[in-house]
Amino acid sequence: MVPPLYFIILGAVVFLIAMLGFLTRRSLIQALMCLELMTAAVALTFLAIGRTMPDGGLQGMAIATFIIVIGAAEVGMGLAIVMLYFRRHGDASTDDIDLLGG
Amino acid sequence: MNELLAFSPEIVITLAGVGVILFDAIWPGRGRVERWITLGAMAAAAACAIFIALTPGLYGLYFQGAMRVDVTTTFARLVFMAAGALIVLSSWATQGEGDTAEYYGLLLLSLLGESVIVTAQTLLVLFIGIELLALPCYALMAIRKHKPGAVRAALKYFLLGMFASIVMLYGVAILFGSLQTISYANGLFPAAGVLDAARTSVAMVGFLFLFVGLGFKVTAFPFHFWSPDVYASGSTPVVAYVATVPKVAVMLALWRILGPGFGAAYPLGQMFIAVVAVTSMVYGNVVALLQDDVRRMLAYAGVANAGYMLMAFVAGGAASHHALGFFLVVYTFANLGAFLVVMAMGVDRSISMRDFSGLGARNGVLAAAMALCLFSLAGTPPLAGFFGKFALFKATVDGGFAWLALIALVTTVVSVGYYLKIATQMYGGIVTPQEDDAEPGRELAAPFRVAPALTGAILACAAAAALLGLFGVGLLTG
Repeated sequence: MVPPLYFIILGAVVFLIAMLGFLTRRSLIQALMCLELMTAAVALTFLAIGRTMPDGGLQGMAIATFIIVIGAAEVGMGLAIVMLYFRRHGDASTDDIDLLGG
Repeated sequence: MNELLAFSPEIVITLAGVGVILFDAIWPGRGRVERWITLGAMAAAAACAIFIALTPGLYGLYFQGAMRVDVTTTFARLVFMAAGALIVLSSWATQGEGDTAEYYGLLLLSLLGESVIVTAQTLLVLFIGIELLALPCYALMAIRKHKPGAVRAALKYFLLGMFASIVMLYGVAILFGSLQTISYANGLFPAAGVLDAARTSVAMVGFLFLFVGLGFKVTAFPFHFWSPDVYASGSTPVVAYVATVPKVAVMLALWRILGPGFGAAYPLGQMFIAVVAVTSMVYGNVVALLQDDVRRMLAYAGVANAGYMLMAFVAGGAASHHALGFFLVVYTFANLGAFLVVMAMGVDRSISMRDFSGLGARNGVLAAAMALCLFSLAGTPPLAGFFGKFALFKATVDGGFAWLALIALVTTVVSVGYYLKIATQMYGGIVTPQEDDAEPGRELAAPFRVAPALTGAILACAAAAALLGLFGVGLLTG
């Protein structure tokens, strides 16, 4: 059996990759995909940490289920806003959005 | 059965929120009915909250210790319903918000999220509450589609909000691993010395990540960068809502997570909160001083106020808790009032300091309400804001953090600068027309009328900002 620690490390690496992608990608669709990937990485981390617990991972699985549901709601809302933005501005990139400027 | 009774406010809000949207799907275009349903649901929820408070035996832990109903919950429910009702009143007559069923439905669901945040006793329920609060807000921010920049603001709010939420969720995972639990029914962090050094440092990393998500919602300094842009171009009643109510919910939840003894047991975490508090106060107040757009100014003032609120977590103790609760209520109504006045001045355009020129003569009621709210925010005696700040500062000094209170005091003096700038414009008669004005002063001299419901909401906020101080007196002596 693969030890849970490997999955925790995998989760952290995927989380980092997705985070870098979110901060550097200019396409809104890619930014949304990166957010989803981050969510998936966190769910994986919860599952892996849950396996180390005495209850055999039930708690981790329950949390991961909730995260997946929330992730679906989040991507639905995100796509709706991106669609609206695309219709008004004619492109779907983050060029006009100063994400880190006050 | 007790569960149904203890969570009746949330059940009422959920049914009304979903019901309003269904109602519009079946009988479209009857926004007038929907706004009454919304107001009725808020009143019913507030009545249920009072009933729960008065009925013995309903306070306690519910759902296997996942949610708690207690005094804090009742307090929060009443503040949320009052603020929600004021938001509904303020947009009673606006196109885009007030005549759209989704506006009311999403507002109600977002209020449900606030309630979940405050009642939550595990980090998972807290996260669900935060998402339930945030997802409707992302949509609401863009509800005024024709307003320039509204959709862009909503997109920025969504992207950064989701990013902060997921980072926070990763923090929850780290805390889950290091503390072996995500329940904070008995405090999340164990007493000092229970955790070994390695677990403590991992838990602190988790706390840092958790704080990113919560700090984003309360616009504390390094996580505030979304607020000025979003406040400036989002739908104004929604901005007024986002700028006030989530702060109350998240601050109360953060208190539940950390408890009164966190600072003493975990000096590293305490230091981190203190640094965020100081930078928020200094940065927020100084940058607010440089703003000309009033919405942006209020955004930076919000950053500064988040800093004042965080002082309570540094000092800890019961006195800080009470001071924080009182400060939050006063801040909510004073800030709401200021935003609603800006909204009355112009929904779709940016309002600069200069727009307030001579407001005292053009619409005395509006100017007086704005002055009351601003001076309450600044902390001028005898208004409520003074008692809130005084209690907070006093608790901080008593907790052994005189230097922190001193910084807060100095930055408060700075903040009077920008609040006074608006007051002098309103009453000083300093009309400073811009050079590109075709007929300078023509528009500025005319009196203007405001929708009665909006005026009522503004007056209610101003009255709260001024008179809540009566309750604050007891706080200082007790």
